[in-house]
Amino acid sequence: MRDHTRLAVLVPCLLPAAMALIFWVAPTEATMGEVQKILYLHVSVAWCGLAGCLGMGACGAMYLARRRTAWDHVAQASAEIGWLCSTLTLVTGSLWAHEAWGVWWTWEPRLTSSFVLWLIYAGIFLVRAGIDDPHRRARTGALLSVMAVCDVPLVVVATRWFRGVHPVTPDMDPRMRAVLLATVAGFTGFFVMLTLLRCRQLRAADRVAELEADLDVDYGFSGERA
Amino acid sequence: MGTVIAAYFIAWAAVSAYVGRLVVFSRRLTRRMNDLQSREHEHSVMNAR
Amino acid sequence: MSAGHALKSFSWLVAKDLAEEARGRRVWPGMLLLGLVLVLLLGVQTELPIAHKPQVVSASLWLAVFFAGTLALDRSFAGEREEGCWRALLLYPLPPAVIFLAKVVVNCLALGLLECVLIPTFAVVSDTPFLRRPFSLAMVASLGNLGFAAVGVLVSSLTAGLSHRGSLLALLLLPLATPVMLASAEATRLLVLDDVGEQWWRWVQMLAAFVVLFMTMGLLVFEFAIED
Repeated sequence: MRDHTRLAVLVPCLLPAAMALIFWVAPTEATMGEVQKILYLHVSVAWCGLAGCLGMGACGAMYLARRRTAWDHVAQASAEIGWLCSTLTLVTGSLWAHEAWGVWWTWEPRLTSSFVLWLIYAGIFLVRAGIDDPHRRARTGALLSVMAVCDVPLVVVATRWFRGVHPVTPDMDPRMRAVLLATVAGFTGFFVMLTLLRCRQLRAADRVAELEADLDVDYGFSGERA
Repeated sequence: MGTVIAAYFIAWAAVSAYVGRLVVFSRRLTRRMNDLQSREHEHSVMNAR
Repeated sequence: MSAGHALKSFSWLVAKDLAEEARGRRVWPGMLLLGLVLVLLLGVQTELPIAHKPQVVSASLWLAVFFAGTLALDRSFAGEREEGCWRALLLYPLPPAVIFLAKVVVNCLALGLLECVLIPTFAVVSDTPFLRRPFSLAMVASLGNLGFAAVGVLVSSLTAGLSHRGSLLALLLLPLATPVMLASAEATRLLVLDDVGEQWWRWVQMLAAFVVLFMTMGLLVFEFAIED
């Protein structure tokens, strides 16, 4: 197992740096004022939520092809982080919507498809939690992830045809754009690191379960539940 | 400005809760791993006799 | 496996499921009744302004159809598993794709039957001219059924062995089938407004795209879903 300690120490330092950039370097937007600063957080976690879904689907497909448990670990870790990010996307988006549009929620395409994605994540977790056999759990999770990845673009397309268009990023001040990119990169790096650490933990839990089975002891680690 | 702070605070709280859960689970795992490895050692010592 | 053999197996499987339902009458009556209950619940609203009515009523119709349809999907695999017939079925020299197609067709028929009952009922209860263009509505309904059944059979095969099967199926299936429901509801709304133009075709194309996507995916991954 590779040692991720240096990464685990360095990457979280990116976040305070990003915060500093957001609050001190990025200019305040003309129309919405200070509230616009939520943008940096919202876009970052939204992107990470989507990337988590893609990662989960890709690793699920690889698990079905190769049947190595390592792929299932990455898929599970991506799913957990992706769901966390998806929840944050909905919450920060809702807070921003309340300030910008005066409503907590509206059935805009992006919001609807984000909510659908969140529900799909939650469904996958529930199903995984209900299966004891690790191979069956991995296989079911992988199949559902693949279906989710195929489905989310369709939801985006359908809702875009259904209602108007979510406010797309308008022309931004170059400094704002730079800060946004830096924040997205920082958050992505942080969540990738978290995913790697969680993978390592899942591998260790599997190892403990193996030892338990060998020694005929049950501490309740057999099969890490999502 | 309150809304911005609330948003960042919620994000920080959620991520910290998740990381905290990972840390607690890691500690539990390490304890069990050590316990199992010492049992395994006992077993192999007894089998060797 | 030759095409003739596959076709024969396919028709045998469909006939088997239909015969089982005709003899046992375990699922479809319950599904029809649930559909009617939903029509009651959705239709007993206070009077809606004319402007919004087509949209709300179309959406309610498809919600009722697909929610009641999950009952049929839920029992697709459960019946065979309970009686121990599932293993026997897997031992036959049938490609998984044939089993998938057969299950999809049976569930499409179930949904079709449900629609034959619910659409007229809804039309009467909500006083909306659903049957103004019956052939277009039939096309929308068929595509919607195919798409919903395809993703439903896949998800049902995954949740078949689990304890909280019914609730998990609805929880997983309805978000995944959101594009079908949206597209069907929108296409039906335009039909009610007698607006069969370019917009309506876009929705039908969207439905067709979904059907193609999930049928393809189902045919490819069903063997993974049913392995033990």
